[in-house]
Amino acid sequence: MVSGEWSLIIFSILTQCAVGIWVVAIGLRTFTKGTEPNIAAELTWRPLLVVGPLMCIALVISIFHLGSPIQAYASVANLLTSWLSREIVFSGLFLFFWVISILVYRRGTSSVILGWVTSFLGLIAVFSMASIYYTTPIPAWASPNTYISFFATMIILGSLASTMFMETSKDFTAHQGARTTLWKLSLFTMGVLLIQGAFFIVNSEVHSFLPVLYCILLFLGGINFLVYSFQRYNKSGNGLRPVFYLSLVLLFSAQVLGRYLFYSSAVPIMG
Amino acid sequence: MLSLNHFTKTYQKILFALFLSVVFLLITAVSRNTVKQAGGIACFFIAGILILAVLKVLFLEFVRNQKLSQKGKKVFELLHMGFGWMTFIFVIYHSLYFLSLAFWPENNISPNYYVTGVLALIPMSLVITSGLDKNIMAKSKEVKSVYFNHLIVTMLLAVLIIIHINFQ
Repeated sequence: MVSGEWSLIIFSILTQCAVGIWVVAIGLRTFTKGTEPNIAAELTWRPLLVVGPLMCIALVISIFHLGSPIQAYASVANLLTSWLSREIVFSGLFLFFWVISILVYRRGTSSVILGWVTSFLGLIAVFSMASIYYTTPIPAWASPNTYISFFATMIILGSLASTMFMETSKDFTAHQGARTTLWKLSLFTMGVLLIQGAFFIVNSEVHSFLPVLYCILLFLGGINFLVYSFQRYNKSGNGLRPVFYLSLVLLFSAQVLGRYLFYSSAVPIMG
Repeated sequence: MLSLNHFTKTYQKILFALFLSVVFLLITAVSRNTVKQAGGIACFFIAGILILAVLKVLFLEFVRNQKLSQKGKKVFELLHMGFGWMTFIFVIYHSLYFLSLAFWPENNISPNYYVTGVLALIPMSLVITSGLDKNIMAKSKEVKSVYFNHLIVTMLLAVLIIIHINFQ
């Protein structure tokens, strides 16, 4: 893997993390609306705010991967045939709708439809991103594992980052509803994480050091997140907060390492 | 000395931007590269406005000091306006260049490129007129804000620009 591809790793991870945070936060707002609407809106406000800056950083970094950054606008010129064009267009639209959604939410309106339209644009951006690699003649990329890996990264990092920003809110530990939601979210994340790990093992040769390290980081991070959420579910208070931060570091490292292994597995059919 | 404050009406500002574009076009007509990239440079300014919008939202969210918040808001609005006018100048510059090419006997430019370009000028003018509207930030119930109209026509403009680039 050439050094210039680090910008691709950062861009793809940050974009998936941003979309994941948005989807998780809007999901929480939608599914807890009936029981505790104001608390859900308050808890998810900070995670929603982080999405815009993350997308800005990701899009600026993505320019550095281009051969001629001054021609960056031309990357949207093949919308009908190129997944790369679709990825850029939908990432840009996702950011634009983020601005509109945040402005609407700031005025006190909780438009669930607008939130899901923005989520939909983000999901198409991630789908387009995975499709760029899926449609190449590189065997390691042209498998369903590419889609599984990209969407799993989105959900895992989205859940973790959302939890991290919700943790900074005062009301987070005070409501049993929020703690139950966190416990369900961690179970869902663990399920996604196991699917990601299983697909990785099936599709790769897990004999060298880095793939083994990736699996260990993924598994340990997931367990830590689960332990932290279970402890939170049982009682309020700061308790195992360091365990959460450990899971955050482990899972972020696992995703970066996983993406590095993904890009370095690019061996064309002809060798 | 020429001062922008002399232009108080929207049409005066638009005519001034048009004049600047023609002057710019005449000066740089020798370098075709600059002319060809004017549309692309306008896209960078639009992306710049989007990034400014993100920064403005964050600034207003995190700065609690009322005085500082008002000052910052004014700076962001000024930058937004500056970027907007630069976009407009580059777009007019780009349009005039391609309009001149249309009368050239030999050119390989698709008619769809012209059509989508002309169509994009409609939301562009609406974005400018709504952006210059004094009631854009109005929050009272008596005066209706055109802020969301500005956002909607901007979205339409973005979609038309993407289609326009695809006919390049």
